[in-house]
Amino acid sequence: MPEAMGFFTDTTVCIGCKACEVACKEWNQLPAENGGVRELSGDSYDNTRKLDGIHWRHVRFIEQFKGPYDGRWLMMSDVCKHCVQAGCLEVCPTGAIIRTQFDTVVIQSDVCNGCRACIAACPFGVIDINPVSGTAQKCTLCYDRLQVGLEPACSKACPTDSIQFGTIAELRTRAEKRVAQLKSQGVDAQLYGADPKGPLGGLNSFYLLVDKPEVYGLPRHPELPTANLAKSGGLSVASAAVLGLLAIVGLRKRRMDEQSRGGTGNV
Amino acid sequence: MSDTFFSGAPHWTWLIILYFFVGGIAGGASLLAAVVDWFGGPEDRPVVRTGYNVAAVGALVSGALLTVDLGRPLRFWHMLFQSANFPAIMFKGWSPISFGAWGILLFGLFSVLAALGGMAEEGRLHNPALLAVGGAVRGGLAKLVGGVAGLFGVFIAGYTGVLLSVTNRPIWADGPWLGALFAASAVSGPAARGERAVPRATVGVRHQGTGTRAAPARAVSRVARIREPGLGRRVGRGAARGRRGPRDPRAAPATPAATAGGQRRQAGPARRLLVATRHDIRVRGNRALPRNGGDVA
Repeated sequence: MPEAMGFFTDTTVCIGCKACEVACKEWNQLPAENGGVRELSGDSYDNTRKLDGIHWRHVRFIEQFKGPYDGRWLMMSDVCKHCVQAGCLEVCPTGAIIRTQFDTVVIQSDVCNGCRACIAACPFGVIDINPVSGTAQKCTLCYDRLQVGLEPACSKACPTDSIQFGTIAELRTRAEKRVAQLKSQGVDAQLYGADPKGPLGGLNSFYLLVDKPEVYGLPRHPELPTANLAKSGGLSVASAAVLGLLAIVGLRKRRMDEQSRGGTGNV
Repeated sequence: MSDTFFSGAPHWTWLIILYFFVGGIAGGASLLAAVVDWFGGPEDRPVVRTGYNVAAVGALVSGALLTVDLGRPLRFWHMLFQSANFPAIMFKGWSPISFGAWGILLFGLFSVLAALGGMAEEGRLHNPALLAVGGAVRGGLAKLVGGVAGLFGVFIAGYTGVLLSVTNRPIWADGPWLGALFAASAVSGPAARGERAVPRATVGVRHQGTGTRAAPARAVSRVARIREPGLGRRVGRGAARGRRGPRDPRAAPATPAATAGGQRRQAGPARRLLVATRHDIRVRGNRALPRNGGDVA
């Protein structure tokens, strides 16, 4: 069995060229949005705005400007995190979402029936419906390319090596070195999702960030959707039991009232 | 900042909202019908039959709504069987949408059986196949089928709330209470409807000298009153009306014609659901009064 593979995205060297977005769309033959007529976002140089069923890569622009001469762009090429404990895979009722031999998470489009449970389950908002197929879709970490020994289209296209592809073990070593280097230069760098003991058992697509995760649109403590299952289920059963019991008690009480009135029930 | 703010909307829009409503009413009606079936008397049979009819129609409509809402409706069975490995069962005990799919299937099966049993009891089935099935569901078996339908009913009512909690969406997943709320709401809605349904439903048996109109519904509406005092009060007025006499004066004479009329009314679970829906909307609308708003208990 092959080693776990994934992405390490060093956001400090991303230049926002969106070559990864284009490479992803080309390789995966994803349709254009809105019939190819792009609507401008109007409040950002980024017009893709979010990951969805036809955008499996998205370069997020975080435009932090206090004045005309004071500010910075943070850029992050976002993608499915291929969580080690994946919420989408957990809830998928058709078995369409699988874990591959590369420890990545893939939606089989011929099995998915478009129920959309995975969309709400993903803590990162990665998945959405592809209107052409009617099924939920997201990054496959180029499962087809991996199987023949090629690297994913996005990392292959990335001109600054902001997206790095490799085995998780190797990428983690590389990422820690890079964080140490940046820290020595006075940059407040941190890794997001690289810790196997962290949330969701670690992310097989992890990031180097220079601001709080929320700034990049990433939850600080992503959770599995089933975290609520036992409590929510228990409370439902309890509430149903109480109401059922009240109905029985009400019915019995009515009987006793009727009996105490001495009638057959005719009022 | 909540960690649920970064997830995406699953586009469960009006079909699913309608399903929540219909499924909740069907589930609650099924539970209450089963409770009255098991713990009520022979004078309560019309309520039981009406409950199972509402449950059966609601279950079928729910299944249709959920199927149509899928991105690929013809693959609905992928939730029940492994598509590449048919007929191996597809079931995840930890995924509400997975066990919910099975729940709806089984709820539909048992509520339809219970409803057919009730219809056979009334002698309303003429199709030989349906009559064979309905006729078989009687006595102890009918009670068992009804009980199972009731249990699945309350499951259907509650699991949808659990399903919403088992996501990463804001509000839905921020607390564990949605399932309990859905279950409570599902039971109280049909309880309120029971109040209305009964005066008409019992017309058929009234002339036999066992008419305790509104009594079982009074019992179940206590549930509603406890949970939602405002709803209960309004429903209480309906009960008072039911106690005094039939709302519809034409239904009062205990002639065979009136009985037949009563039964014909009973014959339409879809209509009853519609009436109930209107009633629920009126009660919950908070502004509108019951039809005879001056009638105070």
